Amino acid sequence: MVNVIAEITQIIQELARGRRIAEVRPGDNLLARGIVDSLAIVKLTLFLEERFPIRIVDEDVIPENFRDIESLSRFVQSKLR
Amino acid sequence: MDFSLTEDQISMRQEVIRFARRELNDDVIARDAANEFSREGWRRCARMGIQGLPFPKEHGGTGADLVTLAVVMQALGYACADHGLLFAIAAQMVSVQMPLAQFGSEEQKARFLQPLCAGEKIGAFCLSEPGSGSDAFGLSTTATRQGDRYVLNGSKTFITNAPMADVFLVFATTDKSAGFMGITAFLLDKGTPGLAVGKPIGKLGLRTSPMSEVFLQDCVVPAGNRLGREGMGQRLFTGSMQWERSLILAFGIGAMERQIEACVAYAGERKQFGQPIGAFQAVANRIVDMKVRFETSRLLLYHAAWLLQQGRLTDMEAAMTKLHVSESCLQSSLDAIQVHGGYGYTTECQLERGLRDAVGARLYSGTSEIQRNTIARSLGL
Repeated sequence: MVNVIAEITQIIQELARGRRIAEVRPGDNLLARGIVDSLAIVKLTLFLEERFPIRIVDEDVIPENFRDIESLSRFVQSKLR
Repeated sequence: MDFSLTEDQISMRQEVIRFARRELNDDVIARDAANEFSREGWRRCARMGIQGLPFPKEHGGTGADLVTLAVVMQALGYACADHGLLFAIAAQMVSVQMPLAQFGSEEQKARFLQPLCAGEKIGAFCLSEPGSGSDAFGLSTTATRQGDRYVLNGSKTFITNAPMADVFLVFATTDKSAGFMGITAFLLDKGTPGLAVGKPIGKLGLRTSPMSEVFLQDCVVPAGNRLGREGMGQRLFTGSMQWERSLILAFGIGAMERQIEACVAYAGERKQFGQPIGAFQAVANRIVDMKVRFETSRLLLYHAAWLLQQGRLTDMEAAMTKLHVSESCLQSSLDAIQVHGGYGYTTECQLERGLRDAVGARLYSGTSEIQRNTIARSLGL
């Protein structure tokens, strides 16, 4: 779990820097802050599929799975099981 | 790798060219000057099966594949002088009918898709707002759920087909905290209380395809008119954008084909300094460049249509197609006028209308700048 959170935090920080957002906390709403937007979602899902042995389908792309770092980590963990 | 068209596609192309020349080219110069849409042309195209071409037979379509659609739209662009009409049809197909076919319930398909295929209704895609264009998901129109209905508030702009539309596919935010995943699509009938259409907006080209603003004020929509589930608006938009960016300019490639033929004929007969102007390399090379642009555009179009049919089209391929074809259409239109000199500048020659019609191609369905951004991002830049 620690590794998944660490990996996800890293890519989210990278996306945030691209949006000139300095800091992202685990509970921050990534969607409302525009860190994960329609452009970033493509990069993010590709990253997750490359980094973890998971396949993300259209039905997975819902707010409940991408709202913050914690929900994103839970989503990846559930896919890994 | 087989690049040839099927016999059916070749005969369909010839049939469509005959149809367009016979049925669609009346009074185009006058209607362009008057910003007048041809409802009769729309009906004739529907009778020919154009609006329903790529949609399932059970919903009033023909069930043709997307390469065939590209061939037919190119043929229309080649033979039909009314590109506003073709743009209006193409816009409805890729951005209203396609999401309906993909995400609509059976009831919605019967109620909306079938009459759109039959040409009995006209559809408008309502996404752009005064404050959100290229940033399509930055929209501020809201939809608030109240029991078994939604209340929509906001305004849309640059909505193609809105002045004559019977069906409006409207995008609104249902959950602000979910960002782009909080956008939902709704189907609104003309005449719904709270839905108002503004006056047609004057524009440079495609004048026979009217567009206007759309206003939503406490507009009540039954939950049954929601297209897809809540928050699915982005997926619906992304899917229709792939169709739009790869296919909407097929008619423009037909225009390029016609411009080349006109230029070759003119350069062969127009004499200056004792020889046909086509004998001057400066003129010939310009036409050669037009031909190369046309062929590369056609290859990109057919390839994108084929990939889309296979479910393998990526955003990068769609963006490359849109970028190259739109830029080529505009350059080809400029070149055609240049080859024709002063005659090309006149309204009667009709090349100037082609130029005006081509300018918008670099703006709608995502500007050329947005297409380049998409390609750059796909390259990891």
